[in-house]
Amino acid sequence: MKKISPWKITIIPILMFGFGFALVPLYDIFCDVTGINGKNYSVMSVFDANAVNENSQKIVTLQLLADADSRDVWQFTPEKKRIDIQAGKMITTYYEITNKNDFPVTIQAVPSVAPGEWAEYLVKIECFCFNQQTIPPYEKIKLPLQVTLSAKAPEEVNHLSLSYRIYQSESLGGTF
Amino acid sequence: MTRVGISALSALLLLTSSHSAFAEWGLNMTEGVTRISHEVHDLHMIIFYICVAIAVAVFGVMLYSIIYHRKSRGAEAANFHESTTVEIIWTVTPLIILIAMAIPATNTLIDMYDNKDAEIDVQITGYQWKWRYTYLNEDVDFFSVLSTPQDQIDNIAEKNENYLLEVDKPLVLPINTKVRFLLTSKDVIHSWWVPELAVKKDTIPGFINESWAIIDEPGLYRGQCTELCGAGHGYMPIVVKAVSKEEYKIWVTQQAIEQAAAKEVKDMSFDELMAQGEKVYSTNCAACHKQDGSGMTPMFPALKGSAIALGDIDKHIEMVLDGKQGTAMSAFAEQLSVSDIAAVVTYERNAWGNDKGDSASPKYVKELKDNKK
Amino acid sequence: MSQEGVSQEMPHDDHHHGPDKGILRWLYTTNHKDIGTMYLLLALGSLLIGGCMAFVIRAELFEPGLQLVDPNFFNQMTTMHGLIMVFGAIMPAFVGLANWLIPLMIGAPDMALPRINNWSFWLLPFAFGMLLSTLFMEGGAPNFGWTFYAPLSTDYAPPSVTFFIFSVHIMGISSVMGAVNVIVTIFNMRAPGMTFMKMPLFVWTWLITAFLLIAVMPVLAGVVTMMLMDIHFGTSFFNAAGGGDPVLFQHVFWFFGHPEVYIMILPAFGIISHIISTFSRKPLFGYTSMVFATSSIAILSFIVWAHHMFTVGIPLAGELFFMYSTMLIAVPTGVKVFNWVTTMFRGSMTFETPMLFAIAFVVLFTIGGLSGLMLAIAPADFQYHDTYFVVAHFHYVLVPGALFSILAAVYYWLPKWCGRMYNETLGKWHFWLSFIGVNLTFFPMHFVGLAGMPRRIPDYALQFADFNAIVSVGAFVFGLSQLIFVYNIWRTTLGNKGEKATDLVWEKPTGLEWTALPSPVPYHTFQEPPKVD
Repeated sequence: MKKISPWKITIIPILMFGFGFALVPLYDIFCDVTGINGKNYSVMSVFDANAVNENSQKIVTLQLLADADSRDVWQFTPEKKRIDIQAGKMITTYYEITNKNDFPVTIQAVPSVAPGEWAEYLVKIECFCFNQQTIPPYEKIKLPLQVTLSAKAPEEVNHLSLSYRIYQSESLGGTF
Repeated sequence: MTRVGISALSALLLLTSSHSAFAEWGLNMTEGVTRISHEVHDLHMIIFYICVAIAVAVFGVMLYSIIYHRKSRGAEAANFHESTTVEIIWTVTPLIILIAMAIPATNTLIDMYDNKDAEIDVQITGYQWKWRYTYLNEDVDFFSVLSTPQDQIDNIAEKNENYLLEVDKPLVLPINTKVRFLLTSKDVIHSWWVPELAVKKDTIPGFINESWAIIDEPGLYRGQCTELCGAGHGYMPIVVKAVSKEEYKIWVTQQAIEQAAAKEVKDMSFDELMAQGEKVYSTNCAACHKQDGSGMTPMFPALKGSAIALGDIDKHIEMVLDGKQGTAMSAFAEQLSVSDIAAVVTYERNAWGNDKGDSASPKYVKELKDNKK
Repeated sequence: MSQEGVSQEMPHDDHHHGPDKGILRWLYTTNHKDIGTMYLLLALGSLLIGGCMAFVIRAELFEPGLQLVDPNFFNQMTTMHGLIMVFGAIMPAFVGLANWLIPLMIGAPDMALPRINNWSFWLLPFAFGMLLSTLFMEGGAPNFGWTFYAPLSTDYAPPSVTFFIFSVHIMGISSVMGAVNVIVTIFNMRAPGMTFMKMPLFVWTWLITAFLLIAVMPVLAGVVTMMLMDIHFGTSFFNAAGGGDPVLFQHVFWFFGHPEVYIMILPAFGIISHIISTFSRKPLFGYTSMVFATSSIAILSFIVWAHHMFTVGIPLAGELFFMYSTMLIAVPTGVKVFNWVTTMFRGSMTFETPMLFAIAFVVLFTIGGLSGLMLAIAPADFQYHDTYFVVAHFHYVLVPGALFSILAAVYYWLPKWCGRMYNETLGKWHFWLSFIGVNLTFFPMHFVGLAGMPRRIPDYALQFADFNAIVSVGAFVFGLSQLIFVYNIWRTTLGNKGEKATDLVWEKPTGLEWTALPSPVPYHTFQEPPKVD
C-alpha cells in the first residue's frame, strides 16, 4: 500500500478545524437564503438607492408588538399598534419603556419578524435594538424606531409583524 | 397481574360493545371545524388509503409465498436473483405515486401559509405551564390555566368528563372570521395545538410565529401543549370557545369592563381572602409548589414552613409581585389582580399549619406595587 | 461464550497464547469475538434497564390520574428510556454484531485496530454508569426528553445535565472509534478475491453506517458542547437574549438525529437480507440494488432533518423542500422491501426462530415505514407531530425493526458462535409473545395519537383511557417475554444445553462464516486468509 506522509495527514485536521469556523458564515448564508428564523432583517447604514425607491406605491401594514413578559416587567409597549409602511417612505415610531427600579438599568431589545422569510424586506434605518439602552431609575423613556419597506419586496408581501423582547443586559453573562 | 388482566379484558369488552366513550374523538384524526382542517383530514385519508393499498399488495405477495412456497409443502426453491427491469419498475412506480401525493399536499401547505388579511390578531404566549392570550386590537389580555382540581389528578375525587382538558378562561373567538395567531413564549418552547383547527405551532422564546384559522361552527374545541416543556407539560390545555360574531362583540366589551374592575381595590375580610387565596393558589401555584405547599425540591421550594411565608410580609408580597430572576418563579404583578395577590399571600401564610396569623390587604399590596413604580 | 473455542486450539498455532483468565481476560482482550460478546452483553443489560424504565412509564399511564410517580420523575423516565435504548441498547448491539461478524464474513483474522476496539468498548460502561448515576443526584436525572431541546435542557435543566453532556461525549468518542475500526477493517482486511461487490450485505450496510457515524457523531458532540458553553461559560448559542436562537439547537440536533435513525436501521437491513435468503433457500434478490438503495438512503438522510421540525415555523420553501426530500426516501426503502418479498417468492421456506423474527421485521417495519411516509406530508404532520402517532411510528421502526433484527441475528449466528443450538420451542414462544406484545403495545398508539394525545405527558384525558390500558398490558407482555430470550441464551451458552450445531448450522447458508469455519468458531480465525472465488 502507498504510504501517506504524516504531513499530509495533518492537513486534514487543520481543514476540519477551519471548517468549524467556516460554518458561521455558511449558517448565515443558509439563513439568508431560506429565511429561517426571521433573523435576516435588513439594516441600512448607508443610503441604498435600491431599497429606497420613491416611486414604489406598495403599502404594507406593519404590526408592532411587545413581548408579553417585557410588557409585564418593563411596561414596554409600542406607541402605535400598527403602521402602514411604503417603499421609500421612512416612518418613525416609538416604543415606551419604564424602569421601575431605583437604579439605572441597561437593556437590550431583541427583535423578531413574522413571517420570517419576509424579514429582509423590512428595512430598519434606526432602531433602539441596534445598541444597548440605559434607562435612569424610575424613568419612562421613548425608544425610536425608523423603518421602511424595501422596494425589492415582491407582490406577495402583504403583512409584517415586528416584535421585541427586552432583556436586562446584566443577566446576559457579559456576552455583549 | 389479575387486576391488570381484568382491566384489559373489560377494556377490550368496552371496545367491542360500545363506542360512545370515544364517539367525540374516534379512532381517527378529527375532521375539525375549519376549511384547512377538512383539507388536512382528506389528505390524511388519501395517504392512509394509499398506504393500506401498498401494504395489502406487499403483504399479500408475502403471505402467498409463506403459504405456498414453504418447504413442508415440498416447494422447490427457484434460483432467480436479479432483474434490472423489475428493479426499475418498482423504483419508478412508487415515484409516480409519491408525486401524485405531493401535489395536493403542496396545495394545502400553501393554503396554510397564507396568513394575510386577518380580522383579529391574538398574541399567544406560552408560560410554564399556562397560556396567555392577548387580543392585539382590544383591551383584553388574560391567562388561561388548567381548571381540573388537583384532587381529581391525585385520584381522590372522581374525574369529570373534561379531565385535564378544561381551563378557567377559554380563548373566545368569533366564527367565520379570519383570526391570526402570533405565537411566542416566555420561557421554554411550547407548542399550541387545537386538533379541530388543524393549528399546531411551536412557541419559541424571543421569536414570533404565525398561524391562522377561520372557524366554521360555534363550539368548544380542546387541545393541549405538544412540546415537552417541563414537569407541567401535561397540565396546560387549550380551550377555544367559538361563538357568533355578535356574542364575541358582547364578550369583548364585558371583558374590558371586567378587567378594568379587577384593577379596583376593595376591602376583604380574612375569610374572604383565605377562600379566594385557595382558588388562586391551586390554579397558579400548586403545579410547582404542590397543593399541600410541600414543593418539589430543589427546583420548586416548599412554602410550608418556608422562611419567606413565615417571614417579613413585604418580602413575601414582593416575591409574588416580581418573581425571582433566574428561576421558574415568574412575576405575578401583571398576571394577577392586587386582590388575588393579597389573597394568595394571606393563604400561603396561614394554610398547611403556617399559622402566621397576619394577612395582606389588597390596598397594601397596591401601595407596595405603586411604590415600585 | 467462546471458551469452547479455546479448547479447540489448532495445533499449528505456534505463536498463540490463550486468553487471560478471569476478569483480566475481558479487561485486556483485543479479540474481536470477546469484544463483540461484551458489546452484546452491555446492550442486553441496557435493554433490560431501559425496559424497566418503560415499565414505569406504562404503569403510570395504565390509568388516568397520577398513581406511581410525579410528573418530573416521569419526564426523567421517558428521557432516560430513550437515551438508554438508543445509545445503550441498539447501537452497542449492532457494534457487537459487527465485531463478531465482519472479520468472519470478510475472512480477516481480527478487526484492524484491536486496541482501539478494546478502548471503545470499555469507554461505554463508564459513559452509561455516569448517565445512570444522574438518577440519584439532587435535582434528578435529565428530564428534557432524549431530544434535549434547548432552552429546556440549558437554562431550565437540572444540574445533572453536565454529567449527561459528558457521558454523551464519551459515547460519541466510542462510536467514532468503533466506526473508524469498521471502515479500516473492511477497506484493508478483506480476503483475497473478496471484492466490494462480493461483500455480504451485513458488511456493506455496516460500512455505510460507519460513514454515517463518523459524519454525525461530531455534530452531536458539537451540539452538546454548545449547550455546555451556554450553561457554564456565558455564551448564547441557544438563548435569544444574547442574540442566539433556540431553533438553531433543533437544526443541529436533527442534522445528527436523522442520520442517527438510519445508523440504527441500516445494519438491520443487512441482517434481514442474510436470514431471509438462508431460510428461503434462495439467493437474495437484487443484491446490487440493495447496495445502491442503502447508499441512497444514507445520502438522503443528510437532507431531510427539518421534517422533525415542521411546526417550528420554517418558511414555506423550506417546508416544501424537506417534505419532498423526505418522501423520496420511501423509494429506496420500498426497493428493499420488494427485494425481500421477491426473495421469499418461489423459495422453499422454513420458519425457524430467526426467520420468524425476520418476517415480522419485514411486515412491521413496512408498517412503520408507511406511517413514516404519512408523517412526511407536512400539512398532515401538523396534526401528527409530537403525538402518540409519532411514538407509534418510531417504535414500529425501532422495536420490531432494529430490535427484532438484533434478536434474529443472535438466534441465527449463536449456534455458530457457541457450537450449540438454542432451544427452538423457547425461541418460538419468545417470538410469538414478542410479536403479540409489540403489536398490542404500539398499534393502539396510532389511534390515541390520531385522536389527539400528545407524547411525553404523565397523565391524560379520559377518552384515551381504554387504549392506554391495552398498551400498558401489551408493554408488560412484550417486556416480560424478553426474559425467555435471556434464559434461552443462558442455557445455550453457559448452561451448555442444546444439541451440537453442525459446521454449516443451517441447510444451505452462504458466507465464509458458515462454509469456511467449524462450529463453534475457534478463538482465532482466518490466520491464513481464505480464498474467495
